Amino acid sequence: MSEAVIRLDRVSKEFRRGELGVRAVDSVTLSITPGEFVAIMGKSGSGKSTLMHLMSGLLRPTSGRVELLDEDLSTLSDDQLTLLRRNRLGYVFQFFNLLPTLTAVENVALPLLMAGVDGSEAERRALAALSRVELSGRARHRPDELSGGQMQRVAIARALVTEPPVIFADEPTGNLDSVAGEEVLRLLKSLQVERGQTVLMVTHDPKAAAYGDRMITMRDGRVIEDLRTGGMAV
Amino acid sequence: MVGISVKHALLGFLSRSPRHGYELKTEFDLLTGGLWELNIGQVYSTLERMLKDGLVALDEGDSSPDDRKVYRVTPAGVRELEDWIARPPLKARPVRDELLIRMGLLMMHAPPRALELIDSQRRVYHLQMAELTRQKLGLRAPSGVEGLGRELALDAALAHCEADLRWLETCEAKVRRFLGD
Repeated sequence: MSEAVIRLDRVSKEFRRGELGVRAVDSVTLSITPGEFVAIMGKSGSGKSTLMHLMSGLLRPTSGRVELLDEDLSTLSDDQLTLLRRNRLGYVFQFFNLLPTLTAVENVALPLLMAGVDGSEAERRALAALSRVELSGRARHRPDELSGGQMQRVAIARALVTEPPVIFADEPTGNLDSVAGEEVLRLLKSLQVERGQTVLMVTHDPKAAAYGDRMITMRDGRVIEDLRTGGMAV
Repeated sequence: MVGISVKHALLGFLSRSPRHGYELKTEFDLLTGGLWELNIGQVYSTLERMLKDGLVALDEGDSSPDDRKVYRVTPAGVRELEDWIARPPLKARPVRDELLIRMGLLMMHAPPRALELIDSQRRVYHLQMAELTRQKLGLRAPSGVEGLGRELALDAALAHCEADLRWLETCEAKVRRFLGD
């Protein structure tokens, strides 16, 4: 039925700042098609991160309707929303957000363990995900023994281990040098191309955005441009 | 100036092994990622000039079956190539951009239209960067010097787009401030 993985209908989000209400996202309507790689661009304060948090159910809108994977988010309780986020979405962050005391494979297995998968099965799948990001050799290393690029690849393995249909990446190359950043972008691109996963990436870097096949630009809480960049499968 | 780089590129290819004109063009396209349009006529006219200057010679012993001329580099050609590579670094490229003139004129006559120009120009760069990135992804594990040369050429093109975008961003901020926006 629905041809969209995410659908926003006149979605706004206001934050109180003292007496004033600030509209971080201002009546945005858009939909994301399955298998798209979408780059969301804009300067800091443009509302791009808030938009992503609304799409991923991390924030609830002040007004408007958000549909995510055929669920109307306003009908879900906080617990149901948490489950949806944990089981069906993957996240990659600028600062990796790995647990420092766990090894790479333990970090990657975590979402599975939280979902109730048993230990040996979780480890088997975590190792497979690490091999997917070409880090099999680092499975028993802790984050402080890895380079930035390697940490981000572990984070991608963690994001894909539950095989979510949608992956959110928030400035995934913001903390990496250009070559390590490219590897991360190639990986995200391959998830889209080879697995048909939908990737939503917030970035201020036009070189990163160029990996998307759709580029949404925000300014003052509004979408000022929604550009299809003609992504053929490579 | 264009001719000078072409000449040295051809000398560089020939210094690896003798080849005919068409092979040289193919190699040039690979090295520059197809971003530098060179027609086969330019290749032959450059080879003719280098023949006259004694930088290359015809490889008589090894003429190809279909009668195409095979060229090889002479010792003078190798010296020329080495001198060229050892030259001091290039000057920063001059800014001679049509966009700069358009922007300047619009600021004089119709500042709000400068913002429209910025938006449409930005779109062009974003589309171009997406296309260059697709080409890069299409390289498939760039192995060997040819693959790497092509990837570096695409990186150069991307970096230019990025610099232009950054400049547009500065323009936009300054024009908006000027307009009291």
